[in-house]
Amino acid sequence: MTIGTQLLTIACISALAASATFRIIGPPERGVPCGPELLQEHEICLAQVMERWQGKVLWIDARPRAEWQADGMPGSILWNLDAREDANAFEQDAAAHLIEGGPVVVYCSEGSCGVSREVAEKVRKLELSQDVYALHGGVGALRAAGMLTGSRITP
Amino acid sequence: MRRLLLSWLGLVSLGFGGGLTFPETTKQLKATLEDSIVTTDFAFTNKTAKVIEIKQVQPSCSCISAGVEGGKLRYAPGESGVIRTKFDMGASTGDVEKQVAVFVDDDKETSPSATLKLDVHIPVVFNIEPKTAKWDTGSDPAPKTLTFTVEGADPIHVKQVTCSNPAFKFELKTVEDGRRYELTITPSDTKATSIGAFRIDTDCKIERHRAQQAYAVIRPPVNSDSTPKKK
Repeated sequence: MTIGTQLLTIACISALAASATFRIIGPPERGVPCGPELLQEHEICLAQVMERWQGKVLWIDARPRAEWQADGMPGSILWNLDAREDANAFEQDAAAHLIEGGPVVVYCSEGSCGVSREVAEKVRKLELSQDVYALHGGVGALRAAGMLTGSRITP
Repeated sequence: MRRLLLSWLGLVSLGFGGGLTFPETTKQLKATLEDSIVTTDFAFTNKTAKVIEIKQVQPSCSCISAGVEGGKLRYAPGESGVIRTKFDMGASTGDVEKQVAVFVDDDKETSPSATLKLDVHIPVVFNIEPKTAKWDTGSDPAPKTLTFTVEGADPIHVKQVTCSNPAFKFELKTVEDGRRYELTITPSDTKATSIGAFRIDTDCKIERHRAQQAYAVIRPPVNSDSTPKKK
């Protein structure tokens, strides 16, 4: 058996295995995996946000300003921990948006960025909402769900 | 055929075979009030039998800069190096956890060879409890009190309090100079939804902590179960 035939055989076996996997298990999961076993305290899955509130929450973007301006969630407000930003202005803006309560979901660049959990804790301290969560998977989850359509919000 | 398969398996095992060895992948750090940036180093050694190339050092947020000291990216067997991280604390307070992912050679985008963690304790300077005084619309506009407590060792004095909304009257009382204050707020009425932001100016020597904020809010009664009904 020549090298070429051997390579072809391996490629065919791989293709057959991939095809069988696709038929039995289905297409690959493109979304961000999320479930109770993956959630840290005060984190929430995007699916829960959609199921419980149909996405009608105050979205807080905890990423750098430029990223929020580029593709923040429509209607979101900015609150990051950047030393160059005015932390008091962010807090005041959030308080004004929460005057009538309502759920809050904070997201940041990546699932493990940690900033969303820190900002969520700051929002929680305002005691203006009973439901304040950090989004598991951050913008990755929103992007996979096609929800980051590119808002152009004036800061 | 067997030889080819063995070669292929060998190549695959090399691709997944170990990375850099870090004696410590988690560092517990205590920042001081004066710190704005916390710097820490993670030492590593290539304990494998092959040259390892660091492809990317990726911090979990923009608040961290991280890189290999000296810019050296290729490490021969037995060679050591250091990854230096700088965490800009910004407005972070309390206990925070940050991560830095280290990708070498053929690591997948989602599977770094090593994840370095920084557990940083940032001292809280000033505590306001509660942060917001709340009234339901139509309720008794009785006074409510917020308490400011200086948490650090050094005293911090409240110099001035101002409010964005004249509908809220307030009075500042010094309970213990430099340590504890009380702000009593009284709304003129509770007929309509309203918010007032209180700016508390202090003589804190750290500029980013100098001005603090608290709030007064009049709003419709919030249902104890704010979770909307499912469709």
